[in-house]
Amino acid sequence: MIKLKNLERSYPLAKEKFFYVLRDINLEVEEGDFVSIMGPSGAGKSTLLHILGMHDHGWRGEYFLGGTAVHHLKPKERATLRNEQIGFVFQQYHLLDDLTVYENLDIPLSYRHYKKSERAAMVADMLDRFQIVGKKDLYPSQLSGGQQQLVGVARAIIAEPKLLLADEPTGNLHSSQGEEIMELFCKLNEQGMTIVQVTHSEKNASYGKRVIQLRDGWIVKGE
Amino acid sequence: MQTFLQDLRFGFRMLRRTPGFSVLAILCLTLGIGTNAAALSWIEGILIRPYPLVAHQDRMFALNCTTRGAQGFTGLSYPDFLDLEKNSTLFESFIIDKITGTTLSNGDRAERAVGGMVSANYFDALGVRPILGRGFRPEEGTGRNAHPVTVISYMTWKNRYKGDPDIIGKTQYMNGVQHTIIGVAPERFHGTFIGYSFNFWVPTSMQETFDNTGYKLEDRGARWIEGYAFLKPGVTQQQAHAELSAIAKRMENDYPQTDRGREVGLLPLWKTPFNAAGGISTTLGITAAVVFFVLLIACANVSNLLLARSLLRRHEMTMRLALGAGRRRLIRQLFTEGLLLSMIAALGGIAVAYWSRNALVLAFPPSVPGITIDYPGQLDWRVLLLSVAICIGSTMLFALMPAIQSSHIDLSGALKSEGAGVIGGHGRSRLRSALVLVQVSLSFVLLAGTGLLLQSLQRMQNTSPGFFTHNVIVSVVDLFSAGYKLDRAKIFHTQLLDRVRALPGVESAALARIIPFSYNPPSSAPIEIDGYQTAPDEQPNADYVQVSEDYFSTLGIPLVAGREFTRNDDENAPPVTIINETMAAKYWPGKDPIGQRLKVKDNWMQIVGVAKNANYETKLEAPRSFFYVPVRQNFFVGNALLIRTRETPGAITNALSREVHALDPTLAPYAADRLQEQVDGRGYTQRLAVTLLAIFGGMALFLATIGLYAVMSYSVSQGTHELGLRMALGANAGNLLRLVLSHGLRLTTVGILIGAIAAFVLTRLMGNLLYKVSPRDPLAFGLAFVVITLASLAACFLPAWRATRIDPVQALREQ
Repeated sequence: MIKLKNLERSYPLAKEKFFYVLRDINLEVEEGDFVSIMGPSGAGKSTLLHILGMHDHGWRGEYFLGGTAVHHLKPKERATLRNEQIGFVFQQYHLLDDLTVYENLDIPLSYRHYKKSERAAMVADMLDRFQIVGKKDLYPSQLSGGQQQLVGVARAIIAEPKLLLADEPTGNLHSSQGEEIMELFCKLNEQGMTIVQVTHSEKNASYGKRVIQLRDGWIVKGE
Repeated sequence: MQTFLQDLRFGFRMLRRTPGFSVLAILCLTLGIGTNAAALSWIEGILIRPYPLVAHQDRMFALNCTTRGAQGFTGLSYPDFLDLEKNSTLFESFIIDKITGTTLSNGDRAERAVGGMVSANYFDALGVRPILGRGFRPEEGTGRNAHPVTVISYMTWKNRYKGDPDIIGKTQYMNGVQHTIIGVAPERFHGTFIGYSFNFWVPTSMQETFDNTGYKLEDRGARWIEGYAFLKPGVTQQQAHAELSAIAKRMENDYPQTDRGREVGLLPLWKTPFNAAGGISTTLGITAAVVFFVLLIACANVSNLLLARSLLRRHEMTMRLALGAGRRRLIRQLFTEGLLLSMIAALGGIAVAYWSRNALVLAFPPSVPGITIDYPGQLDWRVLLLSVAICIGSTMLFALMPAIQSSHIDLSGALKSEGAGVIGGHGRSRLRSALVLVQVSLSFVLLAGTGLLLQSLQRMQNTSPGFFTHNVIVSVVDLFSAGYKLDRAKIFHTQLLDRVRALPGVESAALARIIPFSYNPPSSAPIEIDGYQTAPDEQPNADYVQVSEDYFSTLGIPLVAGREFTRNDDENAPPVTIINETMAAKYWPGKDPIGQRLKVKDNWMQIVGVAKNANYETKLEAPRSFFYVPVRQNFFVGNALLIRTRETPGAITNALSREVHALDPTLAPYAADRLQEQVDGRGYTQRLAVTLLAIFGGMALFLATIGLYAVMSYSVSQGTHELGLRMALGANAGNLLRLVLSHGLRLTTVGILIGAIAAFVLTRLMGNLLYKVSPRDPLAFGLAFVVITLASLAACFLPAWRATRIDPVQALREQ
């Protein structure tokens, strides 16, 4: 599903010098895989995840997603591909404060030009599936951290992406809430969704099928 | 559409969530859109379509009659008007509307009323149907004093006749003649004279009754008619103008004695030369530019507010992008939110425009009882449409840049750092500074303009018109309306003058047919100069006024040669005249004009004096040929009384009332007034311009000050860490105060420089509103500089002071 070849990400420093965040990354992720990226702070985990999520365009190398050569695409085409294939879960949940739970779930669909009736059906289905129907009219500030992340996951998968990227999805949750989210990921993975998560937690990583270790921008294990 | 509604719904929610921001932004925009809508409604209601209920105003033009080689409108004679009407083919109709006045008794008091002498087709041509009775019939336009009928205004019907439903057929004495009321005009029809709301209309056949200078319907030399023409559909102004010129040329050949050098043209309604439209159009044009500046400043303010708010919303914008929104989609959402703001502001603005649609009247002198000054704004669909366009245009101005800026997000960086430092902070800060520069520059232009007009008005007030104004009091006893005939009026005025001269405190008194600077124009006629060779197409023409003995000494107009009129210059003595210096220099260059002759209306008159030039109608007029004739050789029933005295107008009114009563117990004089009031009254255009510019300039300065304050405040709040660090490194309060103030003043200085350059260019457009003031007057520019600098200091001081109160430990810890 994902193939990275000689991928590098650097930031310019002084004259013609660069600070490398990722170096010579070669990675393959199969469809239906559940990969955990681990490593110390500053290793380049989040950068790698945002490159996979096509939020970051300043890299060099080759990136294939489902056979599409992302490195040949223009930013606009990348955004379209991202909208079609990828869902993202954030450590800080990043729900929109001024939208209700229902509207937070609706917004990715509206950006993907679904019709209103279709959107209503999909949101209702998702609310039901995550058992948050009773919370649909609440604002994020009225939810607990776990509930917010639940909505965050629901929002990430509502447009039925093939790939789910998660950046420390349980980082702000207490252990029982974290377990609940990880079990949800396992369930989604069993249903065929490819998942790549960044985590510091060995326990969370153990929910996945494969672990990749990064250090100073290099993959040191699990290539 | 669905997306638009969704954005709109969200926009409403955002407005509710940030009430402080919403109220401030809406107020700024309401001010901007409201002032524009008000100015547009004035332009529409006073200049473009000034006559509600009149159909096809786009085809209505003012008849502009001029004399070749001379400046200004001169009127049209009735026979010439009939010839134009008869010989033209491209016109639907011609109408006459000559302003006139009368006195209407109202119980035990008399009230002035203003009305129109109009052609019989007046109401039909305008498409105005009286709500009661009828308009004039064709036969009522002709026959000397044959048709004493009148159509009264709705206001007169309601106020004077208490809305009597049986008013038709009742009679009303006007100028001593019983007139039958045949119709009541609709409520919204106030006549076709910009500036006054008319009380009545009479047909032209009654001209002699309403004009104390005699019967003129058969006199081709008497040019008194003011009127309009309606073009046939599809005819252009140029075609119609060419036809009128051709007819005028034929009349010139047929009647060279009276029509030589006469030209007839057409002017759009907003340039009408015989009512207030021509005078007020420059003022309203400048007002339109000024309110546009106010709108720009308001937009810059809201733009700044949106930029500040976009920082608070950076997380939302980042997430929306991360969730799949394209940049265009994001811009559209922010634009819709901006549109929502301006739509609410537009509603408020239209309410402001509605309330201020008649506000221009407030700048005019208080009206005489019975006379209504009328400068109505018009909020029709065109104004509303333009307001909507302004609303959308201003949204483009204030919302688009912040929206584009907000959509420039480094998504990866933003998501990783929880939204901190999402957007290029420097770019945004530069934009905010640029917006402040725009505000300061525009404010400078407006303040410099206000300064110029203020100086102009002050100089105009301080400049002598060429005669005394403070200790001269004017009054009128309306003998014409009281039905006095010439002989009786002559005896009355002679006796009254003697009595007034004998009053204690009166130094001198004189009669004049018209008061200087009054709205009645002086007489005007073709003249012939003994020994002066005219050019082939030249028709010498000059204005004149009929005055009594002691006129020059009463008004303090010096005679540079010859003598004043005496009581003996009467109908039994040889006709004499006094000319002004300009006339002497033009027709007798290098010669002594005393003893020379000039001919007016077949009457040769000998020049007995040369008077110093004075202003006759306004202080802005250029020196022109003017002469005086003795009133006793050219007597009219109606004359004004000029009294030089140290007494107050009130005391003179009382004394005058006693003397008038002693001569005729049925008469009462109009309340006496200082001549200065009359002179001030004619400076209304300048006063209006100053008032409007001062109000809008003040608004602009206020908005710009708020804008600068907001930028400085924001810059201090964003720089808390740096300021805290500086304090920790040893900076004291004075250092920080200087640091913040100098940043603000740097912005102001650049803004003032740009504004000064713009003002150098733009103030030249005010040329004809300025009186003895250069459009680049250093005092006005200096004043604008001082005011803006002070306002900037005030705007920067609070944020600077706040900077000195920062707790360095707290500031550093928060970072």
